Parts: sequence; structure tokens; C-alpha cells
Amino acid sequence: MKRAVLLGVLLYGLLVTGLTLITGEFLVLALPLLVYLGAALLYGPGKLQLTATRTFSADRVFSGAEVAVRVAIVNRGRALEQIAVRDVVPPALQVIDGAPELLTALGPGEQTVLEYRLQGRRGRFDFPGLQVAASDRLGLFERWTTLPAAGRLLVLPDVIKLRRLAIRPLRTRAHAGPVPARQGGSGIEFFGLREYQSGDPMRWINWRASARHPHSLFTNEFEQERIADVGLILDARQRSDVHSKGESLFERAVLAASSLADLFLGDGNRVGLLIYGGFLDWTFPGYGKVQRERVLRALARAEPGESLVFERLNFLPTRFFPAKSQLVLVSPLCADDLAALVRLRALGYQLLIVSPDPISFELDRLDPHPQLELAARIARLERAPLLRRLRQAGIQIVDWRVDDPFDSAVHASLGRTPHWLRSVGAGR
Amino acid sequence: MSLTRGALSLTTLLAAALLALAYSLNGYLGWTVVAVLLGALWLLGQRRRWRWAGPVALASFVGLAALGTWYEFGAWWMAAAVTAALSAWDLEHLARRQHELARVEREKQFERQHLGRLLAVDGLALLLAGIALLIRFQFTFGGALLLGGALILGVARAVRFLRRESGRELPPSGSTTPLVHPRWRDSFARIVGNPWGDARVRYRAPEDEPAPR
Repeated sequence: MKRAVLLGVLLYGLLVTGLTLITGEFLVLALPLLVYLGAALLYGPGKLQLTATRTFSADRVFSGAEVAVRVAIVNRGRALEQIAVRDVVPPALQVIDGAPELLTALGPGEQTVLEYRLQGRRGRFDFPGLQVAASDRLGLFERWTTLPAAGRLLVLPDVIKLRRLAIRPLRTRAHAGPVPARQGGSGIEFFGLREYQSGDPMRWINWRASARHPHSLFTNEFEQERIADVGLILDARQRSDVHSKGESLFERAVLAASSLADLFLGDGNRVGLLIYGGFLDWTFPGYGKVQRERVLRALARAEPGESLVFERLNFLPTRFFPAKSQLVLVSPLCADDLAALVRLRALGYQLLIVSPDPISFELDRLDPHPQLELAARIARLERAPLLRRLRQAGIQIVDWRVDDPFDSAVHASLGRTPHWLRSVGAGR
Repeated sequence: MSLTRGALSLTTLLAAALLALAYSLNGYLGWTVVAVLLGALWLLGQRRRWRWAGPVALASFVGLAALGTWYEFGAWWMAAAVTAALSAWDLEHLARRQHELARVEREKQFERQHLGRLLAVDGLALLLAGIALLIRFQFTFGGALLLGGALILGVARAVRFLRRESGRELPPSGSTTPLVHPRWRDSFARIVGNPWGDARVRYRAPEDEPAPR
């Protein structure tokens, strides 16, 4: 519209000058401007009657995968001589091929298509619509509108395939699975001895023990293996997140959570997810592929948030998780989290903490500085007692240097449960 | 070079040349230099994509043409310079549009149609200017004032009308998902007893539910 104003001012200037000086030549000078303005008025766009339809090649993809977007725009009104269309692409997505904008002319009933390909990192992305500017060919009077063409693209977090992880909750579920159930019965691992009962297989008889007691027969008992309830808790508190050089530690935590969810669900366990941050985002426990999809979708939209209530872990809603089940907390940990975590352990939950190390994450990304190493040592000295006390409370900890492969870190920490941890009932 | 860029350079040079020639032929060398410098500045602005260059150059060219008319150089000559400057200003806008938007559909045809419209406007303007210079009639100052007032009022109303009509239209409201799905709100309050006071609890929106496989 600024162009029309400029033209109007010049036109007025010439007309007023000509009429003030009573000189017809000035009016002649104004004629080109007047004709230009008249032509723009004559061919100016009427009411915009456009419809747009958006389609994606896939509405859920994994991080880094390409998605083709196609937006068809149909003109259901008068001819539009010049129309500029721009699709509002969420900034976190990257257009890698084609263009989300177009300049064209559209006759009545004609259709034009915007086609482009994009990719992006984890997240839920809403496409609000198209920005449309229609004008006459001279582009003097523009009519703007936002054309609704809603669409939602879900970019799921990456999943790392992990080797089997030994968890040992106090209570398991009824169905057979991979988790030792602390109950005798049929299984693989030796559990104990009991007197022979009619119907016991002969090969279960413990002949050595029976030989010591001539009047009795003893049978081996094996530890039953069942599925378990696993509660995944992702720490999404803003205060526990670390940003450095455009990278966020939270993304690594999400990666760990998705990989663990995939592993536990793949083993047949019942898994629920709680994202604890600015608010509580709770995914009800479930089994199988549908639950995996639910958990990944919840992780896709997870963002670090701030809340006065959830600033500390004191308000972790334990009633979401079945008693004595396995909890897996993915958190960089803050200094004041100790009491809340020990309380969880005291309530009978078997707790495993996967802690992406914020110190090494930041240290690897900061520019070299003589005092940086000293600062890191001080930070480590503060973190080490926290981890030690948690371990002393019978909590398993994976202290993950995020630049190391997650699978290696998990199995280096949990490959064999230390004897002192077994003594407090946390491991095998 | 695209058709638009070529026409843009041509019209800019033409506007500057017409003015410079008129001033130099009439012995105003200072104003000749000003016209040439303005033309050069505009060409540079087009190359560097300075947004301010076009409007400033158009206003300056119209001002120079008005001055030339005051010096009685020949109104049609000056009207031709204004027409060329106006065309350059228009083409600069089109070139910027083409540059800003990554894709232009059927670009050659699009450019040709635009140039066709511009040529028609220019031709009509010059024709009307020629006719206006041939027709001469006297009217009083009062009549001129009345005519001017009517003209100004008419154009002002037209501009105001179009400004109002071309306002942004916002997308329909009410398309967002509620934070807490009503179906779940009561059930969760019953289970957990809302131990977090006023803290927000968000549940998965129904459309996020994956289809069972």
C-alpha cells in the first residue's frame, strides 16, 4: 500500500501545483500517474476465494527423514493476475528441495501446486496455513489473506537398538517374560530347593541333596521369568537442561528415553511414560507396538519447561506407577534431587537412573580456556557425592557421557551388578 | 538477464536520458548532471536491491520533470520522462518480487503479460498526454479549484476504499486443541486427587492417538 500512497502523493502534488499555477502542463504531467492508478484500480483483485489442501508423503517420520509436502491451491473466484503464495514452514524444519513459495497468476477455477521436501529434528510441527498476497499485474493494490491449510507433521525421536538390560523389580506381572520374578517355578536360573512333589519332572530332582537325606527327595526350583511394569520418567525441567552451541542436553535425554522405551516394550513389558517438566505429560502404561507409538509421539512433543511446582522432584506422582515396580528416570540430576529419589527407593520402587552427564556435555562444547578444566573438576566434585549417595541407597545409575554410544554406556554400567548392590536387593 | 531486468535497466536509462537531454539542450548543465547522477544512483540501487532507491528516484524524477515543465521544456517530453520513470519503478517492484519468491510459475509468460499491461498503460498515458496538449480551453481560477477539489476528493476516497478492502483476513479461530481433554479431567482428579494445586496437567490430545494396528 506504500506504493499507492507514494503515487497518490505525487499525483496530488502535480494536480495541486498545476491548479495553483493555473498551468495545464502540470496536469499533463500527472496523466501517466493517473492512468497507472486507474489501471490498478480497474484490474485490482476482488474478494479472494481460494481453497488450499495440504498433503504429506508421511505425517510421522523419524528424525532426519525427508517428507514431501504438496499444497494444492484452487481459485474459486475471479481471475487473479498476480498472486504470491508463501507456506509458513515451522522454523525448526529445513526445506531441502523445492520452494514453499510461489508467484503466479490464477484464472477462475485454475489450480496451482506448491511442492517441496523438508526434513527436521524431533518435534511436533503444526503448519498454520498459507500467506497469500493477490494484486493486479501492476502490484499497486494488494489484498492479503491467510489461507487455512492446516497440517501436522510429527518427527519422532531416534531410537537406538539396545542389548537386553537386566532389571529386577520387586513385583512383576502375571505373564511370562524376561524379568526374574523372585519366585520359584519353571525357568532357567536356579532359585532353590524344595521337597519333591508328585508330578515334578525327574530331571529336576537334585540327586546330591537327596543323597544326604535318604528318606526324602528334593527338587530344584528355578526362578520364574515374567514381564514387569516399567515407569519411564523423563526429566524435562528447564533447570536440569544444558544448552551449548545450539545443542541441548535434553535431546540426548529424549534419545535415551526412546531407546529404553523401545527396549522394554520389545521385551514385552508394560511401559508408561511421565514427562516431568513445565507440566505433567502422562502416557498411560501399555504393551506392544501401539504403546511404542504412543510413547514416541509423547517424546516427539516433549519440551523442557519451567514450573514452580515441578521445580524439584518432590512432586513425582508415585500413584501413577504400580507399587514396587521398576522406575527408570532419565535425568541429568540436580543437587537437590537426592532426597526425592531416596524416598522413591524407600517406597519400594526399583530405581534406575540414566543420567546424561551435563559436565562433559558442556566441557566438550566450550571454547578452550585455562580455567575450564578446573571448573569442570569442581563441578565433578559436586556431582560425584550425589551419585555415590544414590548408589548407596540402592539405586542403579548409568552416568552417560553423551558423546559415548548409549548402548556401551548402559552395558558398562549395568553389565554386571556389583555385589554390594546385590546385597541391598537391587540386582541379581 | 531476465526480460524484467532488461526492461528495468532500459526504462531507467530512458527516463534519465530524456530529462538530461531536455536540460542540456536548454542549457541547464547543473540539472543535467543531477538527472544523470540520479539515474546512476537508481541503477546502482537496483543492482544492490536498496528498497529506498526506487521511491526516492521516482519522486526525484517527477520533481525534475515538474521543474522542466516550469522551465517550459515541452510538456510531452517531460510526460514521457515521467512515464519511463513510472515504468522503471513498477518493474523494480516486479523484479524484487521475483527475487524474493523462490519460484515463479511460467515465468516468461508472466513477464510478458506484465510488460504488455505496462506498455498499454504507458501508451494510453502518452496518448492522453498528447491529446491533452492539443485541446486547450480556458477556465477561471474558481473553476480550476473546484475541479481540483473534486479530483483530489475522488482519488482520496478511492485510495481509502482500497486500503480498507485489502486488510489482512485472519484464519478462523477455535481450531486449537483444549489443554485438558474434558473426558480425562474428572477421572484424573479422582485418581490423583490433584496434589499439585494449580499446576497444569496436560494429557494427550485424542488426535495424537495412533491407530491400532
